[in-house]
Amino acid sequence: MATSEARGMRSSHRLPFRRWLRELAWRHLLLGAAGVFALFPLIWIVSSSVNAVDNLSTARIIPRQLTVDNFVELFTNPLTPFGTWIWNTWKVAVIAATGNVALAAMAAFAFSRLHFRGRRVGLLSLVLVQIFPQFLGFIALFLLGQQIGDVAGFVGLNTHGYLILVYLGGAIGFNAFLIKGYMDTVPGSLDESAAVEGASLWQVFARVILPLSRPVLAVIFIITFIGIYSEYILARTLLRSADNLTLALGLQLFVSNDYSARWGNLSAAALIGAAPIVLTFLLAQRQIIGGLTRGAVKG
Amino acid sequence: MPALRRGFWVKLAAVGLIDAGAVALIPVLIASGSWTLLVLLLAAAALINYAYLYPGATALPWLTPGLVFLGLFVLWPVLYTAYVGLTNWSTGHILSKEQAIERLQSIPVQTGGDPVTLDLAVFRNSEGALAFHVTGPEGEVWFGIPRPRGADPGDAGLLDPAELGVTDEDADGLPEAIGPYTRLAGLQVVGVAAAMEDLVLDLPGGQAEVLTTSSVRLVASGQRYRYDPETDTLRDTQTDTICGAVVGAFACPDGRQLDPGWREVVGLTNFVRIVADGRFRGPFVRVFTWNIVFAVVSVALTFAVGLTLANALQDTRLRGRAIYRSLFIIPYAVPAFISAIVWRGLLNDQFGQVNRVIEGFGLPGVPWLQDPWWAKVAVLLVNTWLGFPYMFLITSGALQSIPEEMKEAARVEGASAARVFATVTLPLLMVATAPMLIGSFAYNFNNFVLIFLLTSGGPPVAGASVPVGHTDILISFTFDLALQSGRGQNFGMASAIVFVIFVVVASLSAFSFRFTKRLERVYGNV
Repeated sequence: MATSEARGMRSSHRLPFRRWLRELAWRHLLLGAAGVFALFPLIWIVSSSVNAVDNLSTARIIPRQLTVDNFVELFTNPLTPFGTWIWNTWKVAVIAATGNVALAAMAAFAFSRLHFRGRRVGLLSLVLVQIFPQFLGFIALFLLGQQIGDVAGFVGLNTHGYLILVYLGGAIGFNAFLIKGYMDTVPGSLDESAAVEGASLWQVFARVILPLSRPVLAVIFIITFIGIYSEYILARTLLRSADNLTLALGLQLFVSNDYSARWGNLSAAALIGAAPIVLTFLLAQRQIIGGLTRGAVKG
Repeated sequence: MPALRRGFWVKLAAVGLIDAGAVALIPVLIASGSWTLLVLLLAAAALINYAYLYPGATALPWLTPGLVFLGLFVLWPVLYTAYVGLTNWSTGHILSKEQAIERLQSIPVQTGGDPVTLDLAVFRNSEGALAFHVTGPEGEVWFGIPRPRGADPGDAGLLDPAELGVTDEDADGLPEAIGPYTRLAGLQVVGVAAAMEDLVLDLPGGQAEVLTTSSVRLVASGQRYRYDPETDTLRDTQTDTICGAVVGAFACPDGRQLDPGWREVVGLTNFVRIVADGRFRGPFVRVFTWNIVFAVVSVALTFAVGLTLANALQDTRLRGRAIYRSLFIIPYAVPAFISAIVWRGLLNDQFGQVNRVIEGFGLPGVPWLQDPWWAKVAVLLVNTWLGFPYMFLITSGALQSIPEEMKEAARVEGASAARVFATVTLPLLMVATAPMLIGSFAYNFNNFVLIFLLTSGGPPVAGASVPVGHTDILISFTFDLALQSGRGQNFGMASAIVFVIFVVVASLSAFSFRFTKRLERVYGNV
């Protein structure tokens, strides 16, 4: 593959200029334009985030003077506690994604290894359940959170605990289905021999199947993490007070105030917020996109 | 097997802990009347106990944790949303009926300025029971049995003098006797003065408290409304009228609906209002139409751009293909909430860089987020930016999977490149990507983040009876209706609209599932 591509490149070198113009130039023109379109916002926020002139109207693509003030102010302005938002976001996303993977892996194990009545129906239901996007239940979840809050405030409305629990609701949907598919490829002879040596079902799961399923678990974790990191409507519905906000909610505060004046801060915040996700994407392109597009087919 | 035994104890302890928590919560939930929570809690606890204590349960121990969360936070909300959609649950109709009545009964009578002093005459019957005769400033007369302050009304209350028989021999307007009661004069009154001190008489305007032996003060400290459970009515003691229970509130003869009302099941009223009530039908139809247009055009645009780029990138002689690919993935990688907010800044009509660029070409700036039409263009533009990478990725994959021989065959028969594309490539591509296109439609149909963060649904529709904007889609419209409390929270109506969204999304998914199945059959036969 690599060699044929390399050969292709060399042959394009040897292409007569007029043929290159006719056959390839328009492609470059088109792709380049699309590339500029794709990069346009990114270029601007990178530029504005380090631009000493913190004002949208005077901003230039290449700043005359560089500064890190925008970043520093993010973490020092008590009105927009950016550090708290980041911490909240990571806390919720890491805990919820871990819980998701754990619950999904357990369910997947049952579907992959155990024989029980209703197995086929159960598996099918897991996929069918995806018909109901969880976020559409936001009114019910809001009202439920209110009621829980009346009796158990620490997991009621406006707590991270409740938000995490709500996010766990989607655990055994398509994720379990994907993990089950992977577990099916782990040879059954492995768990049989472990069972012969006296391992309990739990030990087979924890010591044999889980370690061997690590690749798919990692992908599901990352995809779930990104999903929760970017989730908006439920977080917006269920979290209400300023120090509870996640990044997705807090970022909006830069917009609601004087937009022009806070553009530098917003850019810096957007960069910090997007960086981990974009980097993960670029590093694990194939796995993530494979998972996402497959999920999308069924979703 | 020691390991197994230890596992058993751990399991038992965990289930015991959960049960203990559940048992502790039951009285709390009963006390607060949270029946929904109680049912959910009991159902979850029952499932957990069965799964982990019943030895015959093979798969349930593995499925239960996930099932509990799935049930509580995905499935139950669907049912509950449907239920809420059948109620009038909204600002002013939040409480249960009992709570509303309790709240109404605690409302005091309104005072209109300073306390009024009224004339008092004291009556007594042969058993020594006192009765008060009070004359109002305009000559109105009340006669009744007083009660100790703070005591229940009991037999106390106003009587009708005419019914009892009034004896007024000197015709001075002040009777000497009313029925069995005779008026006490001078010294006689002084004799009961000590007993009178703590008595009050409930008048329509409030409580008459004894001031002297010949005067009372009208104090508006009494409760204004009294509930009669037998007739299910509320008596307004201030206006002395009966307010009957209608849907979700008590309605008084003068047309007032008492606040707070209560929430109750109103059947299909919300759904009927969506299609029949002008205040909701107009906004709903507007939003629904734009929602469909938005989703269709978004899918079409992203698909067109994605396919064009995928197609352009097909030529293996092209240099820098990997770089282009990475560039195109970036919009997909950036979390959508960040992109939407950043675009909102870029499209700002005064400061935004987009207008800067446009002005750089000598053209006038565009009111991207202020003008109804331009706002729609902006939404579609940004959504194309957000969505083309996904389409690029799936069409790239699909293009590569189209067998070269089929195109070759068409070419051999003399078809032009464009014709090959239109008659061979595109149809095959559409079949291969159809489920993704349907999925993309369903996604965009509910693309809350984009609308909410880019335009907030705006610009607002002028003169609409409910808050609605030109770029609102159902989900953002619903969100405002339910949770943005500017004009009150209307959970009932919002849930009814969510139910409509459910139906749209579910039928799309069902359609998509059938499509995939047919597809598999087609591929299976090949």
